Amino acid sequence: MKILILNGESLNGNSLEKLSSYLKQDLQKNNFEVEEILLKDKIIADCQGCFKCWIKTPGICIIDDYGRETAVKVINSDIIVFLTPIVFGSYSYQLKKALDRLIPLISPYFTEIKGETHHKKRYKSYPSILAIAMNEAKNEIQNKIFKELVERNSINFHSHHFKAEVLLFDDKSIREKIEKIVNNFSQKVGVQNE
Amino acid sequence: MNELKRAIFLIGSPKGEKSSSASLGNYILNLLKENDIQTNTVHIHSQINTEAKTALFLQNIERADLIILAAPLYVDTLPAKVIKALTLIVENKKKLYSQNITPVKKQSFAAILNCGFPEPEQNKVALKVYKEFAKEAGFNYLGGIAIGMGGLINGKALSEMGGIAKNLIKGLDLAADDLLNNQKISDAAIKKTFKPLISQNWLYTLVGNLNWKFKALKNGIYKKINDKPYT
Ligand SMILES: Cc1cc2nc3c(=O)[nH]c(=O)nc-3n(C[C@H](O)[C@H](O)[C@H](O)COP(=O)(O)O)c2cc1C
Repeated sequence: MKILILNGESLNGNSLEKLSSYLKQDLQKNNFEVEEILLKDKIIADCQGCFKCWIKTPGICIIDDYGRETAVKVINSDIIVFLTPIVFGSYSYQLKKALDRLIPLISPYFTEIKGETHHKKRYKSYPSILAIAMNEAKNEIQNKIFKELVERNSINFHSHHFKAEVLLFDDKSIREKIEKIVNNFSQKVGVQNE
Repeated sequence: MNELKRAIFLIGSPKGEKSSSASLGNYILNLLKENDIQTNTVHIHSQINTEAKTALFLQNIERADLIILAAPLYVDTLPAKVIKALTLIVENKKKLYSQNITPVKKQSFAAILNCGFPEPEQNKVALKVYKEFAKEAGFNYLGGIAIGMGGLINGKALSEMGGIAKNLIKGLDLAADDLLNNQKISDAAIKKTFKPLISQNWLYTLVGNLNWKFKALKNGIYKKINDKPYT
């Protein structure tokens, strides 16, 4: 299985390096092919909201920067992992600048899913989403928002599976927690892919 | 009660004045202006891209009694650039706070959201995110207006939209009254603006789908609209 980690570490915030290295170790133990993008090091412009990726150059954003490459890697992965400091219950700017540039991967056409409007698929299959957010202090309200957001994303993104977890930066048992999260999620996705 | 003198309007859509966010926000802003409120409009996407502009942006935020932000829903939450702007505001607040600098009066914040899908409920998560932001910035949260079918507005002035904007306008009138009184946006205002612009969702999506087809035809790529360039 191919795994793509989108590391949304902030420019001058807490480092997510330890978290990402644990994650990679655990994923590699499972013999997955793992790639990580440290988004703050990449030039990815903000989406302009022009929809030309749907009606002018279908499937491709008109901005030629690393946002395009990210989209290619995302659609060719079995799992995408979001790593982010939690920001008001949502994603960091660094992660979100990449996510906003993923709409070329879906179709402009509307469809109904579970009684609600969403977009149709452009591709046959989409990666599952594992999202891990880090917070400085316990905040149940934001944890709930984050989980709800990832669930909403999984619907719009036609992901078979999703899992969202929020951990604390000073959590002493982070190593074990990551291992458990990775094992559970990869098992779930693996079974479906067999 | 705080007296409202200065309001700042933040447009959180990359499309600036041509966005549905601007249409909605400007409607309210005009009502504030009629009541002698000083207003100032900032297009987030072009106003936080250099250090100097960012400093000015933060200064303008500090001067405002009321901050109104209008932004689209992007991937179920706030557009990236809006997250950046709000993060900057909170970081600045923390810095000022550590220097014992606090605004003379508590500032208020209200959000106006619009999304492309017909159901206004799809803005639910983003509304909660705005509330969390207001908390972290120490703002008095006056609530949010969230509408679906944003594609129908598409940057037009609401007054030019005819009958379909009737409930929306009534709701925004009520919301503007609340903002003028520095009060939480009332349930009545929220209920009115929550009513879809057209009552049949299927009609909105039908017209929406035709619109994509029409634009693709015009661009000469109709047959390529379902292309899969990356697999
Ligand atoms: C990158 C991107 C992501 C979007 N994601 C959503 C979404 O998750 N749900 C939705 O209902 N509309 C979504 N939309 C549609 C916009 O919310 C809609 O077009 C809105 O009316 C734009 O408002 P504006 O003119 O103020 O920019 C998205 C649009 C873009 C460009």
